[in-house]
Amino acid sequence: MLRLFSQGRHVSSSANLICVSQRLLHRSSPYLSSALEEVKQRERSLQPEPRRAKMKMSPYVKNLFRGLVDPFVFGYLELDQGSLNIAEDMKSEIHKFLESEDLSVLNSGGRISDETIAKLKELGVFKLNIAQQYGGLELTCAEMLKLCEEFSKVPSLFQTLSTHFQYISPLFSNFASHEQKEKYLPALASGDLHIGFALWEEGAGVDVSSIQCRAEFLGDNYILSGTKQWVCNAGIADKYVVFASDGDASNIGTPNAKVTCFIVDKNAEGISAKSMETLGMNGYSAWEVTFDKTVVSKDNLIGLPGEGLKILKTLLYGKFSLAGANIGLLRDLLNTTLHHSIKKETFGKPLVANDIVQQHLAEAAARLYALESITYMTADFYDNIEDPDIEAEVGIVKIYSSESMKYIAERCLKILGSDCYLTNKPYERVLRDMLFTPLVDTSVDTLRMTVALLGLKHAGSSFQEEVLHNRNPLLHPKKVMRGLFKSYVSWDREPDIDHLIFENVHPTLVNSADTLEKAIFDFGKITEETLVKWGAELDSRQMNLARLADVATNLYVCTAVLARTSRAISIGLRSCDIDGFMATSLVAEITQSIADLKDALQSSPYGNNDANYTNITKAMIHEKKFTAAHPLSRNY
Amino acid sequence: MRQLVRTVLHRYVRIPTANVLNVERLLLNDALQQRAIAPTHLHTCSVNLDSKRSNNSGYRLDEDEEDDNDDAAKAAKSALSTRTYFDSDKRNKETFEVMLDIYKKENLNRKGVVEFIYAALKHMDDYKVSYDLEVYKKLIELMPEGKYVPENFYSEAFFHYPKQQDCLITLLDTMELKGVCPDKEMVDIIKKRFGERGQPLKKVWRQLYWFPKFKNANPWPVPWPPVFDRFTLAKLAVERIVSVDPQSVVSVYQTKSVPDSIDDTFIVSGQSPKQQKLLAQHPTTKSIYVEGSFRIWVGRASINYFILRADPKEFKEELVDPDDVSNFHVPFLYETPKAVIEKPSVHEQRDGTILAVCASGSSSRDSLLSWIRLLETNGNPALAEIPVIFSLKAPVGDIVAANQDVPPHSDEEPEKVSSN
Repeated sequence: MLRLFSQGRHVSSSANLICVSQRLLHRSSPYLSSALEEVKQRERSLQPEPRRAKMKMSPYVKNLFRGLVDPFVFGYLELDQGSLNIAEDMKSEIHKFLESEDLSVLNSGGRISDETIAKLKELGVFKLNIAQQYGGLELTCAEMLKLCEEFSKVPSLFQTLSTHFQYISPLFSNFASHEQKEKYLPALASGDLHIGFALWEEGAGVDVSSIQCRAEFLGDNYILSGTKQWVCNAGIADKYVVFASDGDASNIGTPNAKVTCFIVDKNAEGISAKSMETLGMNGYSAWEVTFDKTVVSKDNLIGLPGEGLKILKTLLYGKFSLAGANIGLLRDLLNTTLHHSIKKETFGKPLVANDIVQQHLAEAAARLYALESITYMTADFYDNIEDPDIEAEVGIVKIYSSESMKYIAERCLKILGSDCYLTNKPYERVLRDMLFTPLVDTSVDTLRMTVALLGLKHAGSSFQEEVLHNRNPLLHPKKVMRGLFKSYVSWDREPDIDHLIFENVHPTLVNSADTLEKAIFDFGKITEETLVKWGAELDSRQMNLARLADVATNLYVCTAVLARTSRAISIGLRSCDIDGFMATSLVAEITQSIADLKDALQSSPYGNNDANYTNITKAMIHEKKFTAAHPLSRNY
Repeated sequence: MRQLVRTVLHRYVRIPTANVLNVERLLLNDALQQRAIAPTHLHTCSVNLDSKRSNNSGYRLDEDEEDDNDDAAKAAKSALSTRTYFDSDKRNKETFEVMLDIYKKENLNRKGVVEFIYAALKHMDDYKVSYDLEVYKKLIELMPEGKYVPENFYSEAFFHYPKQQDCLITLLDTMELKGVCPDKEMVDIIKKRFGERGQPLKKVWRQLYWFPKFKNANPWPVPWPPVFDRFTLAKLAVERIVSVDPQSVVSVYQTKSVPDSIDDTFIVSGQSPKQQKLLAQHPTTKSIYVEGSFRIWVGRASINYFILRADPKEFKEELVDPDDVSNFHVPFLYETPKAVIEKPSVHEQRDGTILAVCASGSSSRDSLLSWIRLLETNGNPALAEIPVIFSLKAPVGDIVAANQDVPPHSDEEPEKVSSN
C-alpha cells in the first residue's frame, strides 16, 4: 500500500542521531559482531530508506463482517530496494549456514548440539527481532518472514528459533520492566541466554486459563509447584518463563483466573526435567518440567501479578505469531515433487503428463501462492499501520497456514506415492513434522471461533438496530414491512457494487475484482441474517461461527491474492501471467465455497446437516460408544 | 529562439582564467591520487594556461609538452577534442569514471558538456560500461543541476535548452538500445536538471513504465548484464533447445577425457531419456547423421549448435473414430491398447528424428567426434555399432555479437577452428 498511497516520509533527525550513536556504542561491545549484523552494515550503493511514517487504517477483516471493503489494501506491500538487498543478503548468509551445517541429526531424533547453537549465535540469529537499543537488529515483520522462510526448511530448528521469535523476545520487549529489559534483552540478543517457554500442561493446552501449576505468595517470595509439558527449548535453556496461577483456586479455568508470569532459573531448587518423546519434530526439544516448591523472588515477575492472561492473549493470539508460516518448507516440497513427477514414468509417460497430476500440482501451487500473499500482506499491516487492529488477520494467517500445510503436503505426497512412507527418503520427515503445527500449536478450531467472534463483536454494534427490528417484528411493524417490500422489489436483482476494488487493481483482473466485491457485500448481508436468525445465542452456535470465520478467511485470502497479482502484473514480474491464472482460479474456487457456506448458514440447523450431526453425537454420548449395530447383525 | 539560446550560451561559456585552471589542475592531481592511478596511464590532456584560444580549444591531444611550440600542430589539434579523454590504454569502468571526474573538475562551469556526453556515449562499448546504469547516471550528473530548468511558461513550451535536452534523449535512447532499465534515482537526477516537464523526464518515465513490462517476456531468461562467455552461452542455448522435453538432461564434457582427441575444449550436450531409447532402438544397419552448424541466439550473442539426427520414421495415419464411445481403454488394467503404433514423441519429427543436441567450444569436427564418443560411453552403447555420418557445413565460426557492442578482442583468446 505504500507504493500507491504513501504521503511522503518524515523521520525526525534527532531520532536518527540517537540510532547512530547507539549503533556505534553497540559495535564497540565485544559480543555484537555477528555475521548478520555485518551484512547489515556492509557498504552499499543503495542505502535502505528510512522507515516511513505509519499510516492509519480501519481493521480490514473485521470490516468485512459489515460488508465493507477498504480499497486501501490493494496496493500490496513493497520493500525499498536497499532494505530488500539487505534482507536477501541475510537470507543467503543463513542459507550458507544451513548448507554448511549437517543438520541431518535433527531429523533422525538427535537434539540440537551446542556447536550448532554456538554457530547460530555467531550468525546473530537471536537478535533479529530485538530492538537496536538492546543490541538487536530490529527487523520489520516482513524482513523477519523472509529470513524465516529459510529456517523453515529445517522444521525442528525453526520451531526452536520461532519460540524465541514468537514468545520470548516479544514477551520481554513488551511486558518486562525497564530493569528486566536491560538485564535480559542484550543477553537474549547475543544468544548467550536461552529461555524456555513453560506454559502448557496436561489439561491446559488450548484453554490456558486452567493451568494447575500453583504459585503461592509467602513473604517476599513465590513458591511454585506443578508440572509443565511441551516446555519449548528446555533442552538448551538457562532459564524458564513459567506461567502459574496464583490466588483463589476456585477461579482456575474461568476468565477470573489469576495467572502470573515468572522467570525461573533452570538450576533452582526443586526443578526436575525430562524430555518428551514425540512423533515428529525430533530436534525440537520439548520437555516436561516439574516444579516442586521452587522459590522465586518477586523481582522475577514479568508484568504485574495476575496479568498473565493478558500477556498470553497478546502472545498466543496476537500480532507476533506470524513467523509460523512454513512457506520455505512448502516451496521446497512442491519443487521436489515437481522434479519427481517430471522424472518418474508411469504407464509409458512421465507422471506430469497426466492431467490429474497437473491438477494436484496446480492446486498446491495456487494454495502456496495464497499463503504467501496473506502472510506478507498481514506483515505489511503489522509494519506499516499505526497501532494495527489485526488480531483477526493474524488468526486467519495461522488458520490458513496450518490448513495449507496439510493441503499442500497431501497433494505432494499423493504424487510422491509410496516413496514418502520410506524412512530413508526425506519426505517421511515432512509427513511427521507437518502434523505438529495444527496439533500442538494453538488449535485451529479455537482460532476460527476467535476470528468469528472478533468480527461479530465489531459488526454487532452496527447491525444492532436491524437485528432488534427483525427479531421483534410485531413491535416494529413499519420498519419490517418496509424491509420486506424492499427485498421483494429487489429479490432478483444483482446487488449494485461500486467497483471499488476494480478501480484499485490491474484492469485484467476485472472479473475477479467484481466477484470479490459482490462476495464482500454479500457477506455483510449474511452476517446480518445470521445475527437476526440466532440473536445473542450465536456465540454458542459454533458450527455457524466456524462458517462465518471460513467466509472471512476466504475473503481475506482473495483480497491478498488479488492485491499481490495486481502488483505483479502492473510491474511485470516474472511469469505474472501465471499469477493471474492462479488468482483467477483461487477467486473462482473460493467464491464457490463461499456460496456453499452461505447456503449452509441460511439453512442451518434443519435445512442442512447441523441437526443431524447433533443428533448423532447425542446418541453416541448416551451410549458412550459408536451406536450403529454391526452390518451382519440380525434382529430376530 | 535558437539564436537567443546560442547567444546566451556563448556568453556563459568562456575561457576560464589561468587562476581557475591552476586550481583545477590541483584538483585533477588530487583526483588521480585518490584513484591511485598513474597519470601517464590516462593520456589525459594538459591545459595550456598561457595562450588564449577560441571557445573550442583548451585541450591538447598529447601530453608531450614540446608540441606547444609547433604552431601547425597546435592549429591541427586546436578543435575541442574530447577524444583525448577516451584514449586510455586501460579501458575499463574505473578509467572511464576517472575521465568523468577529471572532466568535472576541469570544467567547473561544465563547458562543452553536451559534446563530452556524446563522445562518452561513443566510447562506452570500448570501455565495457554500456550495460552499466551507474555510469549512465554519472554521465547525466555531469550536467549542472537547475540551470536548464525552465522558469516560466514560455521557456517550458519552447523546448528550453534544446541541445542539452536532445543530448539527454540520445543518452536515454542509447540505454534503450542496450536494454538498460532506468530506476527511480535516475528519474530524480533528470528531474533536477530539466524540471518536471522536460522531454527527457517524459522519456524516462515512459521507459520506466514499459521496460519492466517486457523485462521478463522471454521464457528462457538470459543473464543481465549480458554475458559473452562462450561456455555460459552454450549451456543456456542447449538448455533452451532441450526444454521441449522436460525430462532432458544437459551434461557438460571435456574433450580431454576422450583418448586421441586433438581439441581441448568443452562440449555441452543435451539428451532426454526418450532420445536415448530412440537411439537404442535404432537399427544398426541405418546410419545417423551429425548435422550443423545451426545458429541460435542467446540474448545478444549467437551460438552454433549441432544435432544428431536419424532419418524420419514412417508416419502411419491411424484413423481413430472420435465418435466411438463404445469401447474405452483402461491402461491401468494393462489392457491392450487400441492403437497399433505408439504416439510419436516430440523428438520424432517429419523431417527427422532428433537424437541429441550439442554445442562445443570450438565447433570443430574433432570436438564433434569426441561428442559422439562421449555419448557412447554415457548411456548410448548402441552408438558403437550404428554408423555415424558427419554431414557438416563449413564451420561458421565462433560467437558473433548482435551488434558492435562487444569489442572484437574479447578477454579470451579466440580458439582456432581446426579444419580436419
